[in-house]
Amino acid sequence: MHIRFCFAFLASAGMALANLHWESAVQEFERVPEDGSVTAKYAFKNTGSEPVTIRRVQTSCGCTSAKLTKTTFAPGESGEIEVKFTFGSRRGLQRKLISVKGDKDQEWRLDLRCNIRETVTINPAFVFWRIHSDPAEQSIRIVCEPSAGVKVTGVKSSSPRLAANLTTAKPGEEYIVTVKPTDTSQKEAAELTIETNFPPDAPRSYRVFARIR
Amino acid sequence: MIGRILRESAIIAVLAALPAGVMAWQHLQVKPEGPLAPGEVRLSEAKAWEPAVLWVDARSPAKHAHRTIPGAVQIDPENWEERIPALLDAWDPDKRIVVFGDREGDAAATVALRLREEMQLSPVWMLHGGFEAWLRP
Repeated sequence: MHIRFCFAFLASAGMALANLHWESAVQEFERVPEDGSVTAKYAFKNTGSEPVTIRRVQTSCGCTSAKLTKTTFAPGESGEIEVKFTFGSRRGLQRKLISVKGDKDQEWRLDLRCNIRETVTINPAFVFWRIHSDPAEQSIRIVCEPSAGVKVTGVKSSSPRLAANLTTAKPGEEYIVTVKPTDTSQKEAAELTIETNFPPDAPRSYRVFARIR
Repeated sequence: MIGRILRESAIIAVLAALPAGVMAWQHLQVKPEGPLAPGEVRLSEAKAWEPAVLWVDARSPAKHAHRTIPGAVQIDPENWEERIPALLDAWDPDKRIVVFGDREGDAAATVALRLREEMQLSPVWMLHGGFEAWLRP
């Protein structure tokens, strides 16, 4: 009988571990530079049987701030951490890690990913072939913000062994660059320059890369 | 009767030690490095992959010049455009990329994400604990 009580006690002691369950610890966003910032809300619930006190929420960049309305959460209680990431001059894919520390040495990691979309996005920005592999054609997709009035005007390859060709899928919106090696018998490196007409006063070009490795 | 009490006491003592043991084991596993974030790898595992590893240093060029992991290529979000050709030249499809930065690792996280998403390189890992993990004996 005593032992049965003992089992029950130990089982409940095991359950007593304080823990936070995060609804979505990794969050992804798509934004444009004009948005200026993004705010992510990380909801959690104390799924343990002891209160949890959040001792510290740490961001590693001055561009990211975290807000917590209260610090101690009873068993079964839910809460939320609000994280704001201010873009500044940052563009493209950005990732911010936030560390949340509890009073019993627990640590949780939150992950904020944001693509600050530019007027022209290119994907992928790198293509490669293994040496002695099939020299099959590969494609790179270029997408332009329709309202910006961008046109992709040409593509140049720095290597004659990696020839690039531009086709228009939808004028002002979508273009395809195809890249094809003449052969894959030896290593090669090329830089492809994608030229646009935007902005009109200083047209911008973009670089993508090709390798035979 | 005394024998039964002693036996039960011994069982209770052993059972009571179990959760403490589990907690101690978890503590040792977690400390000092903490939990792995998505896409992170511990140093011991990354070292086991050598020489098929391309180490990528996402700290500043000054910190990289001062001290780094031997053979590491430096690139960070600030000099991405300038440094990406050198990284691609050092890259080999048979190598795993392991990006490291400062302890908190925003720069490393961004570099790893861009290598994966923009360059479509794979596999790309982040070193858990950053360069400090390498410095620890």
